[in-house]
Amino acid sequence: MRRLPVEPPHPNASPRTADPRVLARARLLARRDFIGLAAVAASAFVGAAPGCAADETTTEPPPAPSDFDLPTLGGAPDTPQGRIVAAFVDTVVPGRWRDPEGAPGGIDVGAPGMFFDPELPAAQFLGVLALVLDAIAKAEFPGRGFAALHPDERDRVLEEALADPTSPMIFAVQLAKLAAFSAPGIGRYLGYPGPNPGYVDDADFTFGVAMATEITTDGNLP
Amino acid sequence: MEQYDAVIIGSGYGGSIPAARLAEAGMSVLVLERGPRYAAADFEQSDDPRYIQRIVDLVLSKTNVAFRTGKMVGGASIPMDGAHFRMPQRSFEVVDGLGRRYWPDVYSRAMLDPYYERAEQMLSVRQLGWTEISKAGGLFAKMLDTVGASAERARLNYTDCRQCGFCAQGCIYGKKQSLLYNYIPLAESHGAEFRAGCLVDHLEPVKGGYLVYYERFGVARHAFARRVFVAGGGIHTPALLLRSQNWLPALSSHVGEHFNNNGEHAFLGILPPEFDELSSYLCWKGMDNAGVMSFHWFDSHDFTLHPGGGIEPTVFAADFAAPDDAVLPSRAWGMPYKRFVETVYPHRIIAFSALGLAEGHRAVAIDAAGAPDMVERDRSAYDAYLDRIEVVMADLEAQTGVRLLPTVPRPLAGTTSAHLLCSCRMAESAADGVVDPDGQVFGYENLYVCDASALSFALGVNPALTISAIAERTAELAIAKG
Ligand SMILES: Cc1cc2nc3c(=O)[nH]c(=O)nc-3n(C[C@H](O)[C@H](O)[C@H](O)COP(=O)(O)OP(=O)(O)OC[C@H]3O[C@@H](n4cnc5c(N)ncnc54)[C@H](O)[C@@H]3O)c2cc1C
Ligand code: SF4
Repeated sequence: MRRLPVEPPHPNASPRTADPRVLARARLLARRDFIGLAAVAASAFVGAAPGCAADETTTEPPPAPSDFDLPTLGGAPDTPQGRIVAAFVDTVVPGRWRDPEGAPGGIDVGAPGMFFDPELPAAQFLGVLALVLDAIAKAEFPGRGFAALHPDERDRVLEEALADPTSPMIFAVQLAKLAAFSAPGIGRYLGYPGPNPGYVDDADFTFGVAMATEITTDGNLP
Repeated sequence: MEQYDAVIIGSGYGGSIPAARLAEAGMSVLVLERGPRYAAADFEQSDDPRYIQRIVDLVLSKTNVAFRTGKMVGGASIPMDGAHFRMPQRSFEVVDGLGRRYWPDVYSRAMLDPYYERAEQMLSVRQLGWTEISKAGGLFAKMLDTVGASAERARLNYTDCRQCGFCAQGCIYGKKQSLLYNYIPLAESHGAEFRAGCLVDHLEPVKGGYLVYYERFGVARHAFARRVFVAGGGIHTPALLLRSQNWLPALSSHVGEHFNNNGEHAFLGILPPEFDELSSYLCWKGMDNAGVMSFHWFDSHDFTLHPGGGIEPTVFAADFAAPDDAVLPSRAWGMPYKRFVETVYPHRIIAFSALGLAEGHRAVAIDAAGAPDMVERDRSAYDAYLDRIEVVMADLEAQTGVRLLPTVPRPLAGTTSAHLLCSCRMAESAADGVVDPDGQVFGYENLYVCDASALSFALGVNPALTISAIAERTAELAIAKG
């Protein structure tokens, strides 16, 4: 490991404080600060399975007949893990291929890709996500992994995974929604404008009149 | 070797305010901030998580907790939602199980009022007019009005707001009067240095003052000061003191304890179609803070209500499902959920949080590497508080026809918050807290804590203005002490 250059100790400092190892702690602290908003969801996921995050090799499902290929993986890599995540996102926010009249879905706006973005912490938890979904899929539909299931079958697997209302899988679902709805594609369809110059000049942005009785003179309670 | 009259760790309210006042008084001041320095031009109107994580720091723990804290010059004054309320007198008088006040005797609303005044002027805090309140706020007020409950126009530090709805992203229009526009320039005009990218590891008392050990650009550094203000916020301040324990053996055993999320508990309201003003309403038009709040249940049930706007409710709160329900989707994902979002979300959702006089139920600890972690404590009192709120919400739902749902399942309530308080609480003695009523750490002369962690108890209202007022007072006392 690279050794940090260290300033000479202050003459008043006790010998203990000259120990550069404290800096290793500081660096670790800085790394943890990279954890970001998407981890609102992923955080709980970590908590449930500390240290379980498996790498691609350990989560690789055995080859399975791919009966229901998605039209696109929405930015996820074309690997077994990528296909599971794309199928998962498409289960949570179904894409236009299943819902031509409705809003775009998670895969249409590239939400699966966000799970693989190295800048975001979600990547650490893909292993657990893939493991859980595949394990339930194989138990319910012997010989077939999650990505190979029909959408209705995937629904059943996710229902099973969410059977416990406090399951950390809830946060994986939230992460998929976050990834889908923070992309302008879906939000805009629902009227969310994304970047804008402000609504202050819109005639209908406010009711403009008192909507309830006030009990304070200035907004502060004494 | 760098020597200063004062070194300040962290540049949020608890750090920038003493920096300004000490520098004004002629002291040499160094502020060490771990994050970068941004200006309005660096902010974006973006919901992309990759951008958001540059603006707020999410402290995660093994216990499923995710707390948001500041991480740049200006701290959480950059992403915060602008609400600045004075703490009601009733909040100062809350007592513990033994009937003892949490707040030191000297604290009262009247005592803090001059400091509140000073901070409000600096931060340009004012009460909004009804014409500045978005329909999200108006509908919230109307919902309360239908049951005879009151709602106040909020007090915010926004000037000529454009109502674009990207407050939590940092305001690209420079309308939110964050610390970048007041205390920080004041401090700098008097010679204080704000040094970004400096992560403080620990401090050590030495003859005549303290050594502050930090890292910048991968280089270990230290600075000496006669007085040190620790203001890393409600999670990082106790973590820093815990990392310093070897060198500060007399620290109170309360460091990290009593961590309190200000009783924050979020709800989503799904409005019935009868709210006919909805025709042109989009729930995300307008500032993140919906511009109103309610004290209606404060005296009777210890909580206040604060609605918000923006897209966040869509993303985070749509976890309600009930088979055979007239309003809710049968599942919180998949096709039923998508249809629900398409039909209900753009026009018929309001989101709001309760804040209140709740006991804390966690402590801040550090892991083997010295990084902050959270430890669970007894949550029975917190649960009793949530019960009180939920009874009121059930009643409100029955009377208004607005469907009211907590945004997370009850066992997960309190697992995410932006109000991170009381983890180095102020008390009369080291037997009860970490800092004395003047903000000085028990047992350590000239070592101060005056950020969110020093608050004695939950406030029942948003904390920024009270943190600011106490920081003004702590700075004044430190200057007077010389
Ligand atoms: C999204 C959001 C919305 C909010 N809305 C409101 C609101 O409307 N009204 C309200 O009253 N409150 C609101 N809050 C809460 C309020 O912003 C905080 O309570 C307040 O900013 C806390 O001030 P502080 O000085 O204690 O800490 P912070 O503002 O968090 O500042 C601490 C600073 O210390 C730095 N730091 C930490 N550790 C170290 C270290 N080891 N070395 C160097 N630097 C370090 C951090 O990077 C940070 O910049 C909101 C918070 C968030 C995140
Ligand atoms: S709503 Fe107002 S304060 Fe918020 S980002 Fe837009 S202009 Fe700034």
